[in-house]
This record gives sequence, C-alpha cells and structure tokens, in this order.
Amino acid sequence: MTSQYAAELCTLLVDDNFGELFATIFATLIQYDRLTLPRLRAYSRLPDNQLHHGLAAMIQQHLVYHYTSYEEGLTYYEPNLQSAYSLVRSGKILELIEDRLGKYAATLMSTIMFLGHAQVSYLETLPELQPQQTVTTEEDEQLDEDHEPKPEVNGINGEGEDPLPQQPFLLHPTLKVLAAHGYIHRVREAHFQSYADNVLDCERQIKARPHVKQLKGKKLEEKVLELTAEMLRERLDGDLTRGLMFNGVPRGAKRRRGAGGTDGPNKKARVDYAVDDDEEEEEENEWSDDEMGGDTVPMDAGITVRVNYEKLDVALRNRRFLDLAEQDCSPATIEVYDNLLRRIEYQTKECRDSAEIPREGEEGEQYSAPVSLAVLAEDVDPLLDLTGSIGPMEVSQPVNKRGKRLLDDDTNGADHNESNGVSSGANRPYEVDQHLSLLAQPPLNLTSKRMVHGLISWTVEFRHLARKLRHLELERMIEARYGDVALRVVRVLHAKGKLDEKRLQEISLLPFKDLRQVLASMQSGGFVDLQEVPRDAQRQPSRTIYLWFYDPDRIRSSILEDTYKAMSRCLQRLRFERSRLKEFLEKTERSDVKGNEERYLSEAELTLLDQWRAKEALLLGEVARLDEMVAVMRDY
Amino acid sequence: MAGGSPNELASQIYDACVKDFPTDKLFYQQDLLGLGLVPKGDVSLLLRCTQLLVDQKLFRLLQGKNDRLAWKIISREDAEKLQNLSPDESLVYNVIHSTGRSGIWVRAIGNRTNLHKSILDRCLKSLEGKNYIKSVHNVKFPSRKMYMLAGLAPSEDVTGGAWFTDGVLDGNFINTVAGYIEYTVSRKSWYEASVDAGRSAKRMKTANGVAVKQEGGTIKEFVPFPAGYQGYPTVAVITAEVNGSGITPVRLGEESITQLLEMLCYDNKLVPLNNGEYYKSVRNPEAVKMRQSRKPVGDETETVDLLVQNGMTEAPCGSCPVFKLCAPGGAVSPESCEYFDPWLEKALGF
Amino acid sequence: MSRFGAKKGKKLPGAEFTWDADPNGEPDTAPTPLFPKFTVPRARPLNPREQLQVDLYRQLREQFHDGPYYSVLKGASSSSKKGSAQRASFDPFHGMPSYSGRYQKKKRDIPYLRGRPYAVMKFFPRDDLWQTIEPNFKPGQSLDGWVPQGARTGVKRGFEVDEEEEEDAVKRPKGEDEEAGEEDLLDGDEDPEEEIVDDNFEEDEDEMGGDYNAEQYFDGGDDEFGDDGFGDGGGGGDEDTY
Repeated sequence: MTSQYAAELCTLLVDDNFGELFATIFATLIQYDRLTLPRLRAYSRLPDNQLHHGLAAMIQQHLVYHYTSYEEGLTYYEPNLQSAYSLVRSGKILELIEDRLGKYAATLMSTIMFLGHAQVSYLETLPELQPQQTVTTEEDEQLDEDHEPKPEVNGINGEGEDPLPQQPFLLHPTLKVLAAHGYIHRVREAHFQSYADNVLDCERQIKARPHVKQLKGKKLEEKVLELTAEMLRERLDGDLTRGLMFNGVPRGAKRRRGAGGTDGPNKKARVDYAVDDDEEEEEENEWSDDEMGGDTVPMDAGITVRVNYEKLDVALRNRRFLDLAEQDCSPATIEVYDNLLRRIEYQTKECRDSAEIPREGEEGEQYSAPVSLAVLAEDVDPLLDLTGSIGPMEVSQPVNKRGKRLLDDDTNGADHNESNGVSSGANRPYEVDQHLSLLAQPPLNLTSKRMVHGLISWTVEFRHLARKLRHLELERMIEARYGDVALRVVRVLHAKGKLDEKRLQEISLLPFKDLRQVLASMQSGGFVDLQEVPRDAQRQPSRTIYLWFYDPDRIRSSILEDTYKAMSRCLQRLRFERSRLKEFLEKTERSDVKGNEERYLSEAELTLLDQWRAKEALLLGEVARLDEMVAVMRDY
Repeated sequence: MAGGSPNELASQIYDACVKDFPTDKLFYQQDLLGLGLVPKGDVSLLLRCTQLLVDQKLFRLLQGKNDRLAWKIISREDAEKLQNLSPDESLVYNVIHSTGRSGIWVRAIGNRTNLHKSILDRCLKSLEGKNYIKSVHNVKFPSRKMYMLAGLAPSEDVTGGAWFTDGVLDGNFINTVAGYIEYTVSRKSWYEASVDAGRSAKRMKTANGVAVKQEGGTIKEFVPFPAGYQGYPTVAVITAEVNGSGITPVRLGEESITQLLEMLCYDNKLVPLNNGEYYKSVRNPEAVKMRQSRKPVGDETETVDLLVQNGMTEAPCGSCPVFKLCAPGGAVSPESCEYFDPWLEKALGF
Repeated sequence: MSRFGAKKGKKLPGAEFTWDADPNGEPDTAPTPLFPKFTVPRARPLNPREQLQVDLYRQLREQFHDGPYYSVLKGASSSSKKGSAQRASFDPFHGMPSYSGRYQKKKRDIPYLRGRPYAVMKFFPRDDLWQTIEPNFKPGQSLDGWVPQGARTGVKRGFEVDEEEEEDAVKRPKGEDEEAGEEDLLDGDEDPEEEIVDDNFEEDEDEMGGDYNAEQYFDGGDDEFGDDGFGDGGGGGDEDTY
C-alpha cells in the first residue's frame, strides 16, 4: 500500500481530520518509514513538546505503530496507513451503523472513532452518550420507524417514565450489540505494532522455545510457520462476539419486517399494518426476554474497545453485492438476498484470507459460510410477498396471483403468518428457494446452492463476486472513456485471451477501422496491450504476429493508483476552495456566529455558506465514491 | 459390340458418365472400364478415348490418390467456353476452377502456371471480360487480388460470413439485426404481469426500471422467470424469427446468428444459458426499447454530459488529459486546475 | 501491409495508418496547452444515503477539529520571539489580534492529552511517551510498585491484570484542568472557549513534557496514587518543580 499516491492521500486525510501537526509527523514517518524518536525529531524539525504530544495522540488514534526492539530497547515508530485511510470511510461506516442499529449506536460508534480507542468505563462518563435530552427523542422516533429490538428497554423511557435510572442500560446494550456484530473489538497490545513486527516477534519467541530449538531444516520452518500463525491469531484476536450470539444471530440484530426493508416506501406500508406491528412488537419482546436475558449484565468496564474496520469491510462489501443485485432483481428477491447476506455477515470475520488480492485466475473460490434454507425461510419477513415477483414456469398457464396475496392483504392472514412464518405453510421455504435460485442465475451468480448434511443451504462465492465487482468498475471506466464498442472488445479479449486483429474482428464484428482506432486509444490509455510474436529470427514486422490482450490485474493496480491520486486531488482542491473563502469561513466558524448564522449573516452570506456546504459535500461525496472503487480494488 | 471409332466410343463414355454419376465424381481407370463400354477392357483404347475427351474439354485430367490418373466430367456448356480459350487461358481457368469457392491469389496462379506476369494478366483480363471468372475480395487478405469462377458464390472464409458486404463489415446491417434480436429475446425472457397501480406503487421506487408506468394508471411490470425456466429462445428459434421478420434480404444461417448472439453477450445485452442452448436478455423489453430509441441522439449530444457511473468516471480527474502531469505545486496542480470549476458548476448548477 | 500504401507525398511509409492520429486533434506543431480542452464529466448529485455519509464524515471531522488533539503548526504571531523566522513572517494586517478575534476559533498547536484517561499505559511506548501521557511517571521508576525493568516485550503478563492495575493508576476525574502554558495576548477574555488556548510554548521548547503544572494537577482532583511513589519524584525530573 505504500505507494506514492496512497501516502499522499493518507497524509491529506490525517491533515483534514487532525490538523497540521499530525500531518507533519505522519508525512515524515511515511517518508522514512521507520524512525526512532531522536531521528523523527531531527527529520520533522518539530520541538520536543509538540512531537511527544503529537505522537502520543497519534498512537491513541492508531495512526502510528510503535515497536520497542528486543535487543536495543529502542522504540521505532511507523505510520499506520491502513488506519489513516480508514478515516475516509468513517462517514460510510457511521451511516451503515445508523441504518442497521439506529442513531444511538451511530453516535456511540462515532464517539469511539473520536477517541481512537476507549475503555468502557470511560465511555460511561461521557455526557454525549447519556441518553437524556435529544437522544431520547431520537430513540422515540426510532421506535416508531425502525423498530429496534434494542430500545425496548428504552421504549419504556419514551413513555415518560424517569429516564435517568435507565441510562447505563442504553450504553451497555448498544455496546453489546456493536460487539456482537463484530463492529467493535477489544484492543490488544499487538494492535499497536505493525503486522510485520508482530510476525517477527512471534517467530523469535517461538524459536526460543526448547522443543522448537531441537528441530532442524524444513521441519523447523514448518513448525515455526505454524506456531507463528497460531500465536498471531491469539495475539491479535480482539473478538468480542463470543457469548453474544444467539442461534447465529448477534443480539439486537435488526429483525427486518415490511416489504421494502429500510427503504422509504415501506414505512408507509407499515402504517397500514399498524395492528400487526403492535402484536409483533410483543412477540419480539418475548423473544428477546428469552434469549437476551443477560441484557442487564453490563459490558465489562475494563475492556478497551475500538472500531473493527475489517469486519465493517465485510458489511460494506455485502452491501455492494446487494446493490449489484438491485440492478435487475425485484424488491422481494433483494429482501431475501439481504437476509442471506446478513446471516453470512455474522459468520464472516474478514473479506479475504490473503493480505493481497490474488492474481486473476490464481485465486481459488472461497465460499461463505452456508446458511440453511430453513433458517432463511424463517428470517424472511413473513409479510413479504414472494410470489408476485417471479413469473410462472409455463407461459401458457395464467398466473394465479390471488392465492398468495390474499394472505397479506387481510389481517387474518397476517395473524396466521405471525408465528415466525412457520404457519405460512411448507411452500414458504420453496418460495425463498425460488428467489435464491433466481439470484444464482448468470451472469452475476450472486448465490450458489449447496447441500450441507443433506440440507439445502445457500452460500455466496466471495471471490467470484469480488472479481465481478472489480471487472465492473474497470468496464465502467472503459465504457465511459472509450465507448461501448471498446467495452465489447475488452470483454472479448478478456474471455478469449490473446487474439490477433482478424480473429478479434470476427468475434467482435467491428469494422477494421473502428476496431483499430479503439484498440489504439485503449492501448495508449493502458487498458489493452499488444504482444509481438515474431515468426522468424529477423523479427520483421511483416513476419510478426501481433496479439492483443487485456490484463485486468495490471490495470487494476494502475487504476488503484490513479484512484488514490484522484482522491488526493479532490481533497487538495477542497482545501484550495476553502482557502479561497478563508476569511468568510472563519467568520462563520466564530463562536458567536456558529449556530446563529441566521442572525449574524447577511442573505448573500447565507447563500454563500449554503453553496460552500454543497460544494464541500460534492467533493467529499466524490472522494467517498472513489473510496468505493478503492474498496473494490483493494479490500474486497 | 459397336466397334465404332474412338470418337464415338468417347462420346458414349461421356454420356454414360453424365447420366449415371454426379458431376463432381472423380473417375479412375477402373470406374471407366467398369462402365462396360470399352471392349475387352482395352486400357490403351480407353486412354485414347479419354485423351480425346480431354482435348474436347469434356474431361478434366486430374491426379487422384497415389498419383493415379483420374478424370472429371465437364458440362457441355463449360466445355464450349473452354474450347474457345487459348491454351494459356485454359490453364489459368483450370487453376482458378480448382480452388472452387475459396478463390485464388493472383500470385499463386502465377506460381502454379509458371506463366509470365504479363501473359497472366492478359489471360485474367480476357477471362474476366468473357465473364468466366470474377475478382473477389477476401476479408482475411484485403490487399490481395483474388479470382474465382464467375458462377460461384465466395465461401464464408472469403467473405467473412453473412455480416460482410463486399469484404467490409456491414455495420448498419449488424446493428439492425442485433437490435431486433435483443428485443425479440427480451420479449421472451421476461414475464409480463399487469398489476393494479396501487399495489405496486411502492415497488416502483425500489426496482430500477423493472416497473414501467403506462398511461391510464395500469402498470406493466416485468418479472423474471424462475430458475430452470425452459421457455427462453434457442438459436433455432431466434434464427427463424430473424428470417421471418423481413429485416434481412438474405436468409441468415444459424451460424451467423450464433456469431451475432455471442457479440450481444459480449455487449452485456444477452446472457447464454446452458452453454448457449438458450439466450436470455439482460434488460426487459421496455428498457430495450428505451435504450434503442435513445441511441441515435446519444451519439452526438448526450455523450457530452453522459451520466456516468463510478467515482473514477465522474471525477474530473478520471478522464483528465493532463492527469499524469498533475502534482501539487506543479504547473498543472489541483489548485491551478481549470476543470474543477466547470465540474462543480455542472453538478451543482451554480 | 501498410508499408505498401505510402507512395505519394513526403509522409513516412505507413504514416497515414498511424494509430494515434486523432482527426479532431490540433496539429502537432501547436504548443500543447497546459489544460487542453475536454468536456468535464457530470457528477451525479449525491443521493440521500451519500449525503448522509458525507454529513456524518463532516460531523466526525468537526468533532476531531473541536477535540483536544487537533493541532496546527505554530503560525506567526506578534508575540513570536524577536528575530525568529516566525516573527519575520508575521502578517501585520491579519496577524494582529483584534476585538472580533475573541470569537475567532482558537487553534492549539499541541495536542491536549489530559482531558481523558489513558486506559492502558502499555499501549504506548514506555520510554518515549509515558511521561508525556502521565506526567507523574518518572523513567526508571516504578508505577504502582510495578517495576518494568528492561525490555519486556517477550514476557507478557495477563492482559486483564495489567489493565486493572493501570486502570487504578490512571483513573481520575475529568477535571477541566487549566492549561498550564502561558496565555497569549488575549489572556484577559473570559470566553467559554477558554479551554482551548493559544499556547505559547517557546519557553518549553527544549523540555520534555513541560506543558503541565503538577501542582495544579494535584489540586485539581483526588489522586489515588499520590503517595505511591510519585510524590518524591526527585529522580530524573529536572523539569518538575514542587
């Protein structure tokens, strides 16, 4: 990851979030990679005081790794690019949390991000996490709109009873929910050392063990490798989900209802079903009482937690898969897919086994944990109409759409469905299966079916889909830059390998002129390459075969660099735009003006402020979109 | 036995051959003896007869398997033509004839006949003038001058298949047929359900383009068929549809259609199922129609502010011509960039 | 093949087939403009989800900016040391403190570490930074009777145990300790922003961890470890004065 543009970008992000001091230290560390304190002071030209405080704060924010070497006792500092990069994803993560677990959870997450890492006991003392004033009302809203199972404790709050005694109950259950989802994990000492340092450290310790010392040669290597992996896993393990999962579902996981999931329209729909909702509410309370009986047990106050970006990448990746499905699937299918992906997310710790994205064609398939159809059928909202969105097997026979729809149109039917969908008959699993089979269809193959212990189960081929996402991003760029003709050519080359012009023309059915033009411009853009295969030793052009090919790996890595660069440019431009308006923006940030903009600013100034905010939002939004591409090309 | 002259015998042999065998049959000595026309199996007599026939251009002498002599019959009309040719012309004609529908490169004729180039050119010119041969355009070797018999249709290797007109890919024709195929396949790939407006109102919002609003409040909704559905069109069905549609002046073979179908798959418009047994369309018929009607406009004006779809394509940097030169503090830098302002303006409208 | 085509004109053989000739391009001889014309793409407007993401990002960023860690490099101010480079670059028009400056957002130039407990000291490198985070720590001295002699990365003690010990050691009320550094010209005003102070640390530049006032610290809150080996901090503490 330590490429020029990645480094530039990370420094900019640090600067944008934490100011120049951090950025200076960070940039120096990036330039020299690994420095002791005296060296760092010399290179950064910072006064001791600033440097010490800066470094300490940066370690708190996980922006710097440190490692005290065993022999010399010297401490080395290294930049943590991964964490610095994660800053750009904070908005996305918080939005995800808010969407899944509600506003309070997002506030809590944001606080943890703000603190870098924090002890639970400290979180307890923070005023912004106390639920009184605004938070309570938000919770109320949430109860109406989102139906969190979590705030049922809080639900009582909303009904006007004394909120104060309930306070700790809001923080701790939410922390537990976050922990159960794996979105936060416990901080371990090893997290402060770079991965390489941890590996070396483990190896050294293992080699010092007497029974390992006796081994020699290959055996020794193997043993060390094995034990190192084990030790690393043990050291870096911050998993907090243990004991917080019930039947494979984290406590407090949102049980989704209503046809369209979280989308706007379904809120309206819910109003129609108000009656059932109440009943469901009760049912859910019951469910939680049974299984979350330990709710009142607070989180261990001594635990230090931080954000688990790896797990969040899994969640964000699943969301991308869902977006992919949304392009041509019906809402019901998407809802089913969402349920499958949720289940899978709970069982997936990270996006990949390997640190780097494997080369194209060299990566094996990696299937997600299988989820059995029966479980899924119960997960899927019993009110969701699964029949209307799939056509019949035979066209001639007219569809009987009535039969199923009756169930959710009238209340009696809904009552029937209520007991977790069990009573909706044996064909519920069959219907869910139908939707999943639909998703398994080419070209996307979003799911795949497997038999596990004789039970029908569904999985997702992670590598395949991650690859698909990557190709899609590249193809979009190619289409935008060179047109749909180019896209066809590239897809032919990708499917067939190396081709000469004639063969390429036959398959792509493009006139020579167009074909050459598009190949030439793509070649100068670096998207396709030409290989010369001379037929004799003279290598004469006339006796040479020219083969075109498309190498997605190479293109991916160069586009990734370009993406970093583009992100940097947007951020730099943003900074420049800000400096253009410096005087004005400083005025709006004045302590007396801020919050009272209406009173202190003129009409024109207010417009200017709005425009500035829109401008900033667009540039930041653009950076976030570019980050989406980075995620696809680097993380997923 | 009619112990007639060899001439008579020869014409008997010729008639028998024409009558009883297909025109492209290769006759060996035994075959001709087997006709039972040559008395006592007299080989030398037979050879005299065949030589006569060859002289009259009614037989063509060939070398068959194992260097044995063999003959083919030539129709009387052709023979008449050939009889009028000079020996050189005849030689050239035979060479061209031998390559059938693939045609032959002029230089190859020269090599085979050992004729001087000027003589060869004269022969070709006269043959072409008599309309015995024609020059053809080979897609594989566009720069080579090639000839074949006037009466033959060039093979697909030479023309490149149905999609070439005079050796040049016929883009318009391809697009017309491709568009038609996509729409046809699309109509058979989606189940059309009309739903009452109220119910699917909420669906409209989430399903991108799945539901299409129609006049009068009813909504035409396209839903996919279940997995394993057998009703998707096959190549045969599609070929029949195309040929029956009247958009193609010539009958297209399944091979040509398959070629086009594959192209459409590379265009991300169709998806092959079961290894190409069936084809399914990616978009529903309404979406296909919309895209196709938008197409001509899109070529000129719309590409300019085409709504593009990922971070890189829509950032000004994504397609910036001086992206490689751009560096903070340089002549081209994010601060001095002239593209950001119009970009912001375009997106925000101020 | 293409080489046979070029007989007329002075063009090099094959020049007319060149692949990079762009029919719309300017002639090769024209100087390349710094910013060639091109149609900038149009960005999609942010969808509500993206807008929310951006807002959350800005919110968190603002939190960071208002937080104790955000710090800028020292800008020029009229109080800079005479003759220093900073003094030279002082901007007499905008740099002078003004009345409205009292409302101006203050920027610190050094992260303020003391607003919160640092739960687990061993997360930080001992020799270099413990003193910074925990001013009462003296190198080479025991903390709570725990003697961390020598490099001890190899042997690790139970995570929980450490934590408990240090938790005790570090826990203290979240007192709004006054910043010990001298206040600058705007010293007088009693803004609610007082907490953020334009510090001038010139005097401290060469000292380690000198931005606190130990006495004030003890005054500020009840120290659970007051007697536990800190009070007698003679050791290496050339900077601590009691």
